[in-house]
Amino acid sequence: MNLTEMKPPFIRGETSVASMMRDMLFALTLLLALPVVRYGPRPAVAAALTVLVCVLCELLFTLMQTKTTGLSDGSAAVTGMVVALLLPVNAPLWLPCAAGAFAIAAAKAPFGSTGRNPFNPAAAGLAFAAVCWPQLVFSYAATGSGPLPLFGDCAVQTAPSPAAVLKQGLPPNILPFEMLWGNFAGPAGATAVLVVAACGLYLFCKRVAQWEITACFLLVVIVIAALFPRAVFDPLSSVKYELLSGSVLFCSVFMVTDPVTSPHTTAARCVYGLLSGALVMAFRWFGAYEQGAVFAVLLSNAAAPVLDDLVFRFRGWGGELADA
Amino acid sequence: MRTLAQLILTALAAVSVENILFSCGIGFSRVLRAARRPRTIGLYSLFVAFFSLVSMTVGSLLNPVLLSGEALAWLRPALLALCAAAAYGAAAAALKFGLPEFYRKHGEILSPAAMNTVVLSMPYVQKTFQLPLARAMAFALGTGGAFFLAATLLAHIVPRFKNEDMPKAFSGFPAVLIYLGILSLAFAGFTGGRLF
Amino acid sequence: MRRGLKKKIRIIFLNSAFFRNPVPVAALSIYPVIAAGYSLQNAVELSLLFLFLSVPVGFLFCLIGEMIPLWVRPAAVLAASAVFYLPAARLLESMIPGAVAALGMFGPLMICNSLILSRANVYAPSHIGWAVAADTLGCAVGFALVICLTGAVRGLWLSGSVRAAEGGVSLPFFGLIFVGFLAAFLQWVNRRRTLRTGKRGGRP
Repeated sequence: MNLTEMKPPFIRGETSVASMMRDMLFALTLLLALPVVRYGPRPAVAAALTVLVCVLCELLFTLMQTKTTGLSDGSAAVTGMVVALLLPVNAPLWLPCAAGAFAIAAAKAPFGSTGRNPFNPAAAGLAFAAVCWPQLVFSYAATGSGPLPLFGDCAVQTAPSPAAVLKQGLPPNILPFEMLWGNFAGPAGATAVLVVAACGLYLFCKRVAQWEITACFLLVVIVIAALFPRAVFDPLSSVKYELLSGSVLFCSVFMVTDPVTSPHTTAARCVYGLLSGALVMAFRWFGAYEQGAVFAVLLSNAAAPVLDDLVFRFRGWGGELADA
Repeated sequence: MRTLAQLILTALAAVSVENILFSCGIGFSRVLRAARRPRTIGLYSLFVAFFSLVSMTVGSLLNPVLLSGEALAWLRPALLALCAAAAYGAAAAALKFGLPEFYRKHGEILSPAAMNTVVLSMPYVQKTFQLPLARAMAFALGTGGAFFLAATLLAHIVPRFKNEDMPKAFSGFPAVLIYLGILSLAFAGFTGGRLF
Repeated sequence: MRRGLKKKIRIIFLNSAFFRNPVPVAALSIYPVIAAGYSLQNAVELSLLFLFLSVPVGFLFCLIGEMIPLWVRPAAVLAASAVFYLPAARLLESMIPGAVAALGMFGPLMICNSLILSRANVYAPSHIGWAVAADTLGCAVGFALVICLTGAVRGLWLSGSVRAAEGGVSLPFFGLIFVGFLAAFLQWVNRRRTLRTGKRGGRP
């Protein structure tokens, strides 16, 4: 009997990788609406350019490897959109392109592309941009900056994000209720928290994303935020600020739920969600940057195979690792 | 209680925030070799922790001598290496003649573990040999923990880097290096830059 | 016979320096390349230090290696490396004043360089003088090539000059990824050579 090894995502029924990616793209495109309304078409241009760069990089690797061209399953486009949405609207246009190129060329294509990548490519690309150009990645246009120039550099007034203020141990000067409408300095697609939540529900209903990972992730963030507030306020306010600031919600919906890089058993996914949430808070407390969600996602991705293995051993399903 | 908390934090820092393995890339060659034999990772890490402990303890004792005079600053790294060599020699002799069966099965990971000790301790030697003894010991244990973590992660992921979807040029070791690079990038989120 | 000997020496040297370059192929001596190879100056200094250290250690253990019991040889190699580091560092300092201090901890870490130690522990005792010489020099050239290329690229990336790099790409992660791509290139080259000659091989 011949056994065929399948690669993740492991999906049943009539869904396919392409349909999953279409659903993701639809949700991500919804998130573009608010920044486009506030800042003009520049966020859309940045997203389009990033998607183009990601798709071209993937096509290039496909050409080099198989000597044929082919349309990607849409995963490169998803990567491009995520990268563009987690960078500032006023970032130079080459920045998301560089992050997107790194995401595909270093974090995805060398490992065998969709289904074989050990890390979320968008998280890797964003981490690369954050480490190489922190002054550009964490510099956000102040609200009310108006339409930004379509191309070229944006010489706009910048404002510290609530995440940056929290990092300094101070309470942000915006109420949590006001943050719900997304009108504060932050990554392009991560400030519209209500839209992010709606997208999350949509993806959970379509079974594109695993709700247990998000639930466990947010649970740990809430508990740690309540027990260890970073500024002088009550636990409830701490929870609200930690959830609404930075890219925590966005990552909980679009990145930690990546079916390729997350564990494949329910128990392991729950532990993975807990671990990711704990790591996000650890980066917020001890990390070098105001936002560490992407770094936390990378570390969690590294732990995912170990978690699956532990679950298998616990249930007596698997064997031991063999010597190489 | 406070001292205990400090020690635990030092050990945890050696595994996470000050993980010199991932942040600085020190000792990766031996981690890769350890990962190729998953069954020995635990023992390898214990040996690393043991030798780190011995080296740090001896270092703390030699501190008053080594801190005097600039000429001796040149000798410091060489002396650490000689300490590690002596520790390895003593441990190897003790095991070879005291527990020959154990040595026969596990002796070959003893020397890389000893070498790794020097590698992992050198940054602290250069900066200061002045870690208080208790914190030095906690750091040594944390170092063993960091090594265990790195080798375990690699042992689980390396077998996946020989699949038919990968470009053949990247199959195996090149993919491992890139994987380690991205993991190191993740730890850079803690340090933000150089650790030393 | 002389021609045969020259050919063997050439093969050993070329394998150590290029086709089986120990850094991207055998994962040896990774740390100096990824952590210290962020500037061409560092790269050149470390390459010289590697040469000054590996040659005497290699020759010593070519001469006496087999007399030392296997179980104590690693300690002897480490001790010898520590002892030879002192004159090697002094020689580097005399050639490039201020180099040892500028290298910081990267210089002393060459004492426990995995490439130097493994060659002295395993290769040198079991091979004859000219083979050890060819291998040691080949490894020195190979190491120098990789670290200098890495330092030059990283320096060029950010500062526009090959001299020094500051910022993200000077961190070890970029060095690892760069060496990973170098290793992929080498693997591709070796595969093509193998296909051309029709032989199986190219594994470290």
